[in-house]
Order: sequence, then structure tokens, then C-alpha cells
Amino acid sequence: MDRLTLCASLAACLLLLTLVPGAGRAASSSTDAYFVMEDFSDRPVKGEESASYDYLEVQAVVHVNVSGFFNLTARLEYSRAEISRTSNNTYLNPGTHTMVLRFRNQDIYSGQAIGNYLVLLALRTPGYPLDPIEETYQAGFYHFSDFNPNYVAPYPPGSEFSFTDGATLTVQNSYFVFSFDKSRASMSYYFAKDKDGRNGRFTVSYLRVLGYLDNGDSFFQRSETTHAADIQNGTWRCESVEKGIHRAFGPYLRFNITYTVNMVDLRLGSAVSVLEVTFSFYMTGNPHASADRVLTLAGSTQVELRVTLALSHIIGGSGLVLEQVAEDTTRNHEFLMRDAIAEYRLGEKNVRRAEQKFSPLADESIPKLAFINRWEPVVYGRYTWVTAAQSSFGNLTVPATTDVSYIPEGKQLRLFLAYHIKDPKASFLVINDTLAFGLEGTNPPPPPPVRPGPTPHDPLLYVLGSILALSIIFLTMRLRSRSYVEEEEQIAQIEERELGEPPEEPAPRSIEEKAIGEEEEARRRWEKKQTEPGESPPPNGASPGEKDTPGKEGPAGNGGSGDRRPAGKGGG
Amino acid sequence: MKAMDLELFKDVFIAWMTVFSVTLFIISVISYLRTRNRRLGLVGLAFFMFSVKGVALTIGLYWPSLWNVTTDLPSLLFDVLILLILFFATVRE
Repeated sequence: MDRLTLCASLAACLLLLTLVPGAGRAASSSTDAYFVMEDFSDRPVKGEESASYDYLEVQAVVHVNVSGFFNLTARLEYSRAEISRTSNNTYLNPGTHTMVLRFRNQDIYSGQAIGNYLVLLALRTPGYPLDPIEETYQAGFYHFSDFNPNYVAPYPPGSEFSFTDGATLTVQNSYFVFSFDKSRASMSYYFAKDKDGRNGRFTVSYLRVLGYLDNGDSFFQRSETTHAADIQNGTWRCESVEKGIHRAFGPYLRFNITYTVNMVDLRLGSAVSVLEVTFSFYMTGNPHASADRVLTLAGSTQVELRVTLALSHIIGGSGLVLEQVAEDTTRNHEFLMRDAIAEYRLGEKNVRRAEQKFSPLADESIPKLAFINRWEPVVYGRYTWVTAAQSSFGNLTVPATTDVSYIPEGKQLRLFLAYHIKDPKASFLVINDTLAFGLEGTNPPPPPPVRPGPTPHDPLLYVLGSILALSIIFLTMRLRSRSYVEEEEQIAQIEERELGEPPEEPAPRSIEEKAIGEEEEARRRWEKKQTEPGESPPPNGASPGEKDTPGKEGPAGNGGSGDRRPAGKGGG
Repeated sequence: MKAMDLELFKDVFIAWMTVFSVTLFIISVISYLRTRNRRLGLVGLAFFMFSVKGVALTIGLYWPSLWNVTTDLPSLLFDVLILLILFFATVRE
């Protein structure tokens, strides 16, 4: 390769490198491989047939820009004691991936640790001799017994309810606290294992119960309120706790609280009706799993509302409104429930019973709130349980749907629950339930992982590279062809020189001519010497030529050569 | 050096690889047509495969939805160097 071509290529390469952004740092970078590990999460995984968790699954989001085998190792610790160790060796292409590690339940159960486990992760790839990326991640709160492979679910430990009646009615067990302030007609319930406010607190303040006359337009467009009652004037009765086996979640608990209130005719001032409202709190789930124990209970807790109304002195069609504007002290909750119980006619005196019952019908019907604390990067979500609840009106049972909307608001997550129940008589019940969930811990929610976007590629660089390559090719070929021409010219000259006429040289003389020539030359030298003074002639008095050329003496004796002899010599 | 900067080298190297491989393929085809030497035909086939690789990488670079063919920068750099050496060796001899 010509030196010029080489220099041109190198110069072009350097020029191209300078055009690339960040090229100045290229020399200091030994490799372009990088991998980032972030956004960890953990969850216990339980098979359908398993009584307890089968393993603890840890997920890590990794970003890599090179292909190859990546080895993610993790060590599960608690109080600096190793509980378990696992690894995952996976071939990854450039991009963002989720690598999963699973710790066996036997190891965790053998660790006998209770608390937030620590996961030490290290990501390395044998393809690039870089230092491993190491991260430490604090997993959720776990109880080793949650991973007991030989676990048999019992009734929730400490789940026995205790009732405390008085100015405030309290029902509680280890997980759940329900209280009703009779003086304020305020009901609230929350979960006792309220770690850092991670669980919902729910408060409802009832204002009053209204009966109304319906002018026929709509149940909700009551024309006249006929009777009313303040709930705090009612009497309360705590029922015994029921136990049973739920087909989906095994053991369950249920307790009922019933209050009875007399409604007053607003026009006559007399008691005209008796209203009996029963709240049933239904709890189920597998409470042995401590990480989700509270949330399982929260998610499985159902409120069943039974309303029994005995009305008299009713004029025209009427309805009943359990009207309450509920809000807690933080104004996070709103619980609005309206219900129209049948229709009553003038003078009719009977007892109507209506029951709105929110109870699990199937596995998927139970609102599973465990996702709330996962803090998925959800800005807004909404979904519907198709048969999430069931509304029973007398002997009729109609399905209900539940819409759930959850919106993160700062450090809280606002959860909207709306139960839509429509009975055959076109009356319906809508409960808008808003729950606010706090964060797990005091830290703000982690920012959603920012996945690296697609690497921008500039077609201009491609075109530039192509032009540069073509120019190198063109330059090389041109120089190469030029050298071909020069070489051919040189070859032509050589051939021409070789094939042309050789230079003229004197023809080779014969020996005789050569000898004659030498003789004449010798004679000329001798004559020259003779003409020079002080030089004596040869002893025989003859010229050197005469001695060697006797054949020519005859003609010379005849006077042919007499003029070349000296005069004195010829006379002797 | 950021990976994004390094990724821009891909554009250039893929362009180089494509151009040089196509050039070498053309040269080898011409040589084969002149000499009818089967070895040159096989060499041309090799360069043709390089050309296909360059085209595929170009498609994967700018139209990944069409054909998502990717490679990493070190192997690409080696490809370019190999082709450069072959090219100059061909032109030299």
C-alpha cells in the first residue's frame, strides 16, 4: 500500500473520530460495556396448592448495552447472618431486563428471622472483565414462619374479637379495630398492624337517616322528607363472632353489629318507623403470611349491610335514605350510600327488609389490595370486578360490579371504590369509597425507573462514513492505477531498449590485418624514433618493417619503396 | 465515555463495513469473471455474505421494526478492520 494512501486513510479516520461527539474521551475508555442494576422488588410466591409461601422472589431491573451471559448472584441476610444464597445466569441482549432470583422457603424457614431481610446483589458478566455491580436492597418485612413448608393454615392467631361497649363501641382483635362513637355517630375501622400508616384508615360519620316521599321522578329526587332519625340515638347490639371455612380462602371470621333506631315523623313528631341496620364485617384470607397479613385481611374484609325497616303512617310512595356525608379528620374518606327500600303506600304498615351484602363470590371477586403497597408506578388506574359483590334484595340476588380507581397523591394513594348494584326494581346502590394509603416507611415513593430510551442513530453519520469509505477506495484505486501506468511505461522503455538496434562496433579484423596494422603501427613508431635526434638506428640498418615483410621487397627494390629508404643506405 | 456516544460509532462502522464489503465483492466478482477461478468465486461469496450482514445491520440500525439485527461495537470494529486489511491486500496485490 502506498504511503500516501495509508496516510490519507489514517487522516480520514482521525477526522471522522473528531466528528463523533465525545470522541475526546474515547481514549480513556477501555470498553463501552455498561450495566446498571436498579429498581428492586420482592414478593413471596405461593402456589395454589401450597399452604405457605414456596419461595421469596426478588426482581432486579438491569440495563445492559452488550450481549452476553450475565450472572446475578444474591445473598439473603438478616442481622448480617446469611439465610440463603442464589444466583441466576442469563443471556441478555442489549436493553432492559428483569432478572429474577428465588430463595427457597426451606432456607428462609431455617433462618428463623423476623423482620426486613437484606438482599445483597452482584451482577457480573464474564464477557467483560469489569468489576461486578453490587447493590444492597432491603426487602419487605417477613416472618420466617411464612415460609414454613409444612405449614397448615389455622384460624388467624389472635383473631378472637373482643367487644367493648360504652360511649364508644369497640371491636378488635390482633389485626382489626372497629370503633363506633355513639355520641358522634362516627364509625371507623382500621387495621391494628398499621405499620407506618401503610394500611387504610376508614372513618364514616353518619349524619342521619331520612325517610322521604317519592314523587315518582326518581328515588334520588325526593320531594319531601317525611321522617328522620339520628343514628346516635339508636341502640347497639354486638352479635357473636361467626367462624367458618371460606371455599377460596379457608378460615374466615365474621362479626355483626346491629343498631336499631326509631325514626320520627317530621310532621307529626311521633315515631313512625323502626330501622334496623346491621353491619357485618367479614374477614378471611391466610393471615399466617405476615408480610401480607394485614393487607390480606384488609383486602378480604367485607362489609355487609343489612337494613330492615318497619314503616307506618306513610303517605304515598316513599323511600329511605341512609344519608351520611362521611369524612375523616384528614378528609381523605368519603362514603356516600343511598338506598331506597322498596315503595310504601298510604296507610301501609308492614316490614320491609333489604339487604346489601358485599361478600366474596369467587376468588377474583375479593378486592386484593396487596398491590397498593407495591407502589407500582401507576399514575391512574381503574378496573372493575365483574362480579365483585352481590346485592341481595329479598329473594333476589343480582350481581354488582366494583370500580376501583387509585391515584397517587404525594405520599398517599387515594383509592376510590365504587360498588354498582342494580336491583330488578331499578333502585340501585352506589357506594363511593375512598381509602387513603400511606407509604411504606417514611421515604417518599421511589421514582419510577427510567428506562434508557432507544439509542439515537444519526443517518448523517452513516452517509458520512459511506462517503469516507468510498473516498478511501477511490483514492486507493486511483493511486494504484497511477502506479500501474508508471510501471507499464517503465516496462515499455525497457522492452524498447532491449528490442532496439545494438550500437555499431568495429568489425572484427582478421589476424593478418591485425598483424599488418600492428606492423604499420610499429613502423610509424620506429620512423618517429628515427626522426628524433640522438637515437641510433637498429643494428641491421633495416627498418623493423622490412625484416617482417620480405615478400614485399621485390617491388620495393624496383623503386616502389625506394623513396622510403634513406639515400646513403641504398648506395652501399 | 457515555454509551450513547459510543453508539454513534456504530453508524460509521456499519457504513464502512457495508461499503468495503460491497467493493470487495464487486472486485472478487470481476476477478472471477476474468479468471473463472472457483476459489475467487468462494471468496466473492464470503464478501457477499459480509455485504448482506452490512445491509442487515443497516436495517437494524435505522428500521429496527423491520428487522431487528444488532451487534456490539467491538465485533463491529473487528469486522471493519478485517475488511480494511482485505481490501488493501487486494488492491496491493
